[in-house]
Amino acid sequence: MNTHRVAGAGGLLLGLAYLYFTAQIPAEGVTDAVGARSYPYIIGSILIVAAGALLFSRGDASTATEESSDAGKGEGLLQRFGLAAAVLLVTAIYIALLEPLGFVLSTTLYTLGLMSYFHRGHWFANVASSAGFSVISYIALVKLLGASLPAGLLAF
Amino acid sequence: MDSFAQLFSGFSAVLQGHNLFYLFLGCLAGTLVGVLPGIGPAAGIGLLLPITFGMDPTSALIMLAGMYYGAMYGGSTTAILINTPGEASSVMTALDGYQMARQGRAGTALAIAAISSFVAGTIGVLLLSLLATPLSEFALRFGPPEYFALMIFALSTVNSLTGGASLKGMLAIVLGLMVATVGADLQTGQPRFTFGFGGLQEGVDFVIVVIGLFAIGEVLVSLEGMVKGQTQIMSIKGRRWLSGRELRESLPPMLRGGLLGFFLGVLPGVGATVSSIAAYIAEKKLSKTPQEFGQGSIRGVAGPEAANNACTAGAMVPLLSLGIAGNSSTAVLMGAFIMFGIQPGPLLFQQRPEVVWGLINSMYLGNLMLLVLNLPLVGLFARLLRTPQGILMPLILAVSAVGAYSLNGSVFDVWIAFGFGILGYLFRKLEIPVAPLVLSLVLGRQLEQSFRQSMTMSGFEFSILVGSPVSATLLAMAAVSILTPVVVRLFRRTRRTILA
Repeated sequence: MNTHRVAGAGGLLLGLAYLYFTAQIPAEGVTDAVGARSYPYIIGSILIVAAGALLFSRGDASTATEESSDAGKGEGLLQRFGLAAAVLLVTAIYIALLEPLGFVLSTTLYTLGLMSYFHRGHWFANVASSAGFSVISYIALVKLLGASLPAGLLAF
Repeated sequence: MDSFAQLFSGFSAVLQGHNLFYLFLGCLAGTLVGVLPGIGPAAGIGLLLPITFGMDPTSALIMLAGMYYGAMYGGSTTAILINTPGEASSVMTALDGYQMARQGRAGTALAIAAISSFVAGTIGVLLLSLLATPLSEFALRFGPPEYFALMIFALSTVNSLTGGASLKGMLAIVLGLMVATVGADLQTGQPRFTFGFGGLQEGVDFVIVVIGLFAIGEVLVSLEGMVKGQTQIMSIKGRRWLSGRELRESLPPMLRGGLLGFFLGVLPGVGATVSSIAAYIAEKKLSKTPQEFGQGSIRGVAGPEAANNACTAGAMVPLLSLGIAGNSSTAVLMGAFIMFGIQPGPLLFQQRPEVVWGLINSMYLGNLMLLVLNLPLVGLFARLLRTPQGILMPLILAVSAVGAYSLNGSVFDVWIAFGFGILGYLFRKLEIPVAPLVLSLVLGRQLEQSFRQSMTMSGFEFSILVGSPVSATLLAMAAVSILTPVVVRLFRRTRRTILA
C-alpha cells in the first residue's frame, strides 16, 4: 500500500468537500473584516496543496515490496484490516446498545465478547474481569463521583 | 526574587491534604500508564479528564500533571524488565537497561532510572520556576500578530520534527485546524460544519478527539500486533540501590541529561523521545569507553532517563508562559486548563498565580513521591506486566467509551470518539503522525482569533503579520523550519544523481 498516495487522495477529497461546505456558510451580517468563511477557505486550500503534493510525491521505499508480496489484493486487505474492522463493528454495536441496555449490561457483554476472542480459553478470568469492571466502574463513577451513565434495563 | 516569594507561597496550596492526595493519585496513575503498554500519557490524561469535572482546578491540574511526568518513571520499568519501552521516551533506556537486567542487575537499573528521573526532574522544575515568570512578562507585550506568528512557529517546528513525513505532518496539522473550525463561529455566530447536529454547535470537544485518536486508535493497532507466545520478564535480582561508585559514575550523566532534556523540552515539537536520544548520543560521545554502551552501561540508563524527565518540566515553560503546547501531552493539559476556564499564557501568572505556582510546586513534591513509589513498589508494578493483553485492551476500549459518555451524558460524544478512533487507526496505518493534529486542534481556535483580530486591526492587510520584529522573526523561523527538510532532501537527491 502506497501510504503517500492513499493519504494524498484522502486529503484531496476531504479538502474539496471542506471547501464545498465552506461555501455553504451564510455570509450575512459580517461583523469583522474576515468573516466566517475566509479562514476555512485558506486552510482548505492549504490542505488541497499539501494533499496534492503528497499524491504526486515519490512515496515509500517499501511500497513496491509490499505490493508484490501480497498474494492477492482482496486477501491482503482482509488480512490487513479484517481484525480491526471486526473490532470496530462490535464496538459500533456496543455504542448503539449502550443506552437501551444500560452501561453495566452492554459493557459486560462487549468486553466479554472481545476477551473471549483475544484471551480465549480463560472463561473464568474473562467473566470476572468483564463483569467486575462494569459493576465496579459503574458504582465508582455514578455513586461516588456523580458521573452520568445509562442505567438501562438494570436500573438500580 | 518575586518568583522565589511566589514559589514558597505556592507550597501552602500543595501541602494541603486533599492536594497531596490528588498528587499521589496522579503520580500513581501516571506510573501505571507508563508501565502498561497500549496507552500513553496523552490518552491517560484524556481519560482522567472527565472525572475531574467538579474538582477544584488547582487540584485537578496537579493530578493531571502528576500523570504526565509519572508516566516517564513508569515507562522505564518495562524497558528494563522486558526490553519493551512502556513509553516511546524510554526506548533508549531499554538499550542498556535490559542488558543490565540480563546481567542480574535489574534492581540497580531500576534504581538508577528512578534516581536519575528524580534528580533531573527536580533540576527541571527549578529551572521552570526561574524561567517561567520572565518569559511570561516578555510575552505580555504580544498582540494578535505576535500570537499568530508564535502559533505558526510552534506548528511548524512540530511538523519539521516528523522527519521524512513532513507532508503527512502538514496534512495532520491542517486536519486539526479544520476540526477546530467546527461549531458556531465566535464572531458571527454562524454554525460551521455542524450538519444540523446540535452536539457540534459548541465544536468538537478535544477530550473526545484525544480519547478517540490516542486510546481507541492505539488499542486497535495493539490488538492487531498482539504478540502470540510468551514474553520473558526479567526477575528483579540484586540490590535495589546503587553502590558509591555507581552513584559517582552516574551523577554527571544525570546532570547533563537534566539540563539537555530541559532546554530541548522548552522547544515546541521536541518531545521526551528526542531528548532521551540526544542525551544517550551525548553520553556515548563523551564517554572514554563508548564500547560499553549497549552492553549494560549505567550511564546509558542515567542520561536518557534524566533527559526524558527534565523534558516534561521544560515543556511546561511554553505552556504556562506563552499558552503554547509543544507536544501531545501538554496539548491535552492545555485543553484541561481551557476546560476549567483558565487560559494558559502570560496573564496566567498575574490572574491565577495560585494555580500556576501550586502546579509548579506540586512537581517538586511529585518527583519526590515518584522516587518513593517507584523504588519499593517496582516489584508490584512489574507484576502488572503479567496482565494479559487480551484482558487489558478490551478494558481500555470500555474505559474510553465511559470517558467519552460521561463528559456530557451523551452517546453522540461516544460516536465522535469512535470516529476519531477510526481516524487514529488509519493515521497509524498510513504512517501519518497523530500529535500534530492534536496540537493544531488545541491551538486552532486561538490561531483563527489571532488572525482575524490582526486582519481587523489592519483592514485585511497581511503586512501586519510581519510588522513587528517579534512576529517577523517568528514567521521567518517558521519558514526555515518548514523549508529546511525540503531543501536537504532536494540537495541529497541532486547529489545522488550527480554521483550516479
